[in-house]
Amino acid sequence: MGEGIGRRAVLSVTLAVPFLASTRMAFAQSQTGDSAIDADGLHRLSIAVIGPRADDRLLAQAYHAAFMEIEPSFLLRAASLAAAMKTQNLSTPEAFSASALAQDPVQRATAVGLTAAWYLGHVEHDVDHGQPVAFEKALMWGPTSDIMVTPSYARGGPDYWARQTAQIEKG
Amino acid sequence: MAEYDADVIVVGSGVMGGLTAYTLALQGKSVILLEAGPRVPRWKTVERFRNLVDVTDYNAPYPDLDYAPRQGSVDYIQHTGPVKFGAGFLKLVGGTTWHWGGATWRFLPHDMKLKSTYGVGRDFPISYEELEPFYGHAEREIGVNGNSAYDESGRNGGKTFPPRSTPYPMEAQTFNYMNKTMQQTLDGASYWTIQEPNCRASRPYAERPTCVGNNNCMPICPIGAQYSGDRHVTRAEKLGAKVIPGAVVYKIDKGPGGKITAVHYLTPEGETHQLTAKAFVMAAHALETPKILLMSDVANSSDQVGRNLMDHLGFNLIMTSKDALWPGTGPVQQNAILNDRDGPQRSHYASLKHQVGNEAPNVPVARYLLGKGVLQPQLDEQIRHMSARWMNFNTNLEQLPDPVNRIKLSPKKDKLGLPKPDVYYSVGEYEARTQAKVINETYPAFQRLFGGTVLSIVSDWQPQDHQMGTCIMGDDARTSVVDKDCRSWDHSNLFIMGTQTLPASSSVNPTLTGAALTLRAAAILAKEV
Repeated sequence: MGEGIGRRAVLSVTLAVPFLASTRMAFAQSQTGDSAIDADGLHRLSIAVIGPRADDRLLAQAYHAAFMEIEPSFLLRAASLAAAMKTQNLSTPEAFSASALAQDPVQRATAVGLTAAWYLGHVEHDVDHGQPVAFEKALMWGPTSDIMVTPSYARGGPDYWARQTAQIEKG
Repeated sequence: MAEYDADVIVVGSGVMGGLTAYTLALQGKSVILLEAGPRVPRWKTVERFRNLVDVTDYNAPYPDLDYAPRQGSVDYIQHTGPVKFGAGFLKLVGGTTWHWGGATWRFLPHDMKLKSTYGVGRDFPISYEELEPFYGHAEREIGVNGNSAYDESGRNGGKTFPPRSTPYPMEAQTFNYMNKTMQQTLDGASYWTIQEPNCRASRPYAERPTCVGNNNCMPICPIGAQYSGDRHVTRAEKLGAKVIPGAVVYKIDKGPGGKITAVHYLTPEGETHQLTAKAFVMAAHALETPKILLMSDVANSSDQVGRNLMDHLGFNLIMTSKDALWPGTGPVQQNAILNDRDGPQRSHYASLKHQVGNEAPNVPVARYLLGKGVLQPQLDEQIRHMSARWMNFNTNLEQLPDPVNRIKLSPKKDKLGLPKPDVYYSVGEYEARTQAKVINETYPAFQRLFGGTVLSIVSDWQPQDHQMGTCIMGDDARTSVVDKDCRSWDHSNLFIMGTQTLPASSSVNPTLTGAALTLRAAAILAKEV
């Protein structure tokens, strides 16, 4: 088995969505922020959009640095989203998703771009190029971590996978 | 001063080169192993993997050097045919088995007599019965786990097949929940599903720890529970073999009586070196071996060097199942569905194998959902729901040897001034009609069985990194490159080891068959030097 079963099949399903490109275009068509968000601001915005799993100051600083490197203009868009959420007193994912702001294509694209970075563990130009930030701490692993393994971080010893039936059937 | 630099020089330090060097060194022969790429320790590859942007790119953690390009290297392979040949190879000490699913199948007797049984393709010049003891030897060297009672043909009424004189050296790894559940469903619908034999240690074996299911066999087993070619290279070195990394072989010298007398290599800095030996082994993969032979006008009186390029033709059905099956626990591949591996239909349809991948699907699932704009608080719940139901059916077809599919020397040159490989690759009607049958009949059946929602059918041919045929084996010097002993018809002291000698591809991974032929040939060679 080779490259085919993994990467190309993955790309066929995901259409290789360039997350930042869509936010860039949406933002350019609407407005221009005047100052970029700083690392602490990005940390607070991440918690508000993603929830407590994004409450990691060091990682937020690393994502901020990666955005600076790859797509500094994203930090202007993040500042715009943060300002709008503050104005509307939106400080949780539940509040944001229930708000009219989440239906604004520009602001929603910014929220998706920020979420994509935290979940995939990198800031990307496209699927081939970008700045890695986290692997084990990428948030995409968390929702399945009680059963699945984060690749290369096995923790259950030999045959752990044969002892999971009861846990899985219990739901 | 010694008459020769070594008894035997081996070009290529992958699994075949390593097994050859080890076999010879064990019998006191002096061996030099030449490797184009560098030596890279396991920890470094693990570290590189964890710092990738795209962790689904299995090649990305490995070196891609201008003097030793690997799979996916930009502009190295020159594609000239209607189908892009996504050739899979790595260049480093240990070779391409640093990243593989570890599948270690035996071919069936019919796989080796395809022409005389079904009237298509070519026959091996050796029978299964003659090769069988060496299959057992290869399973012990590589360290294979499997179920010795299985019918691996899917057509022997559940009784052991193909015949084996020795059991698998390790017991089969246990199925995970997905595989157990899936097997019950598939067996109930008469799809013959078994555990795939593989080279992960199901108990401590030959300095390898027991597999703990890191779900990262590709691109790198972080603990070395899975076999990789560097194991036998290291063992050969402990017995006195010398390994020279960064040695790019570009020329083979012929002497009186058709004997090979020397090989020449370039260092990354462009320095040239020459080495002499009593015998020579080419084990540089199915692309570089014919390239070097063509550059040297060696072993090609049949005009078959570089021709008959085969791979397994891959395509996929990706869907979500109705119930949660939970892939992503344990090793990345465990099962095989074998109904159409053998049978009289092979006169018209290719042998095939299906497999449901067991990789943790979080990357494609997260990308899919984010691409649809899903955000928290729904995102976590949807990642869990979809990941638990992700099913990736990968189908591999046998490809027939066709001389038109070939590697030639490109006029374009690499950094060292050596020709890049031109690859002409196409897929015939035999394989295309088999794919259509699978997509039209079998995939809908899988979808019904699991209440599946189809996400994608990837029908363009996907490389499986199982290159074969480019130094084809036969019983006639006019139509083949080597005989059944892997010896060049043209040069009695030149052997070619590896899957490039296979004259038929079956639908199962070819490494174990290459290893069995290699061990058999190495034993013959050891008696001659």
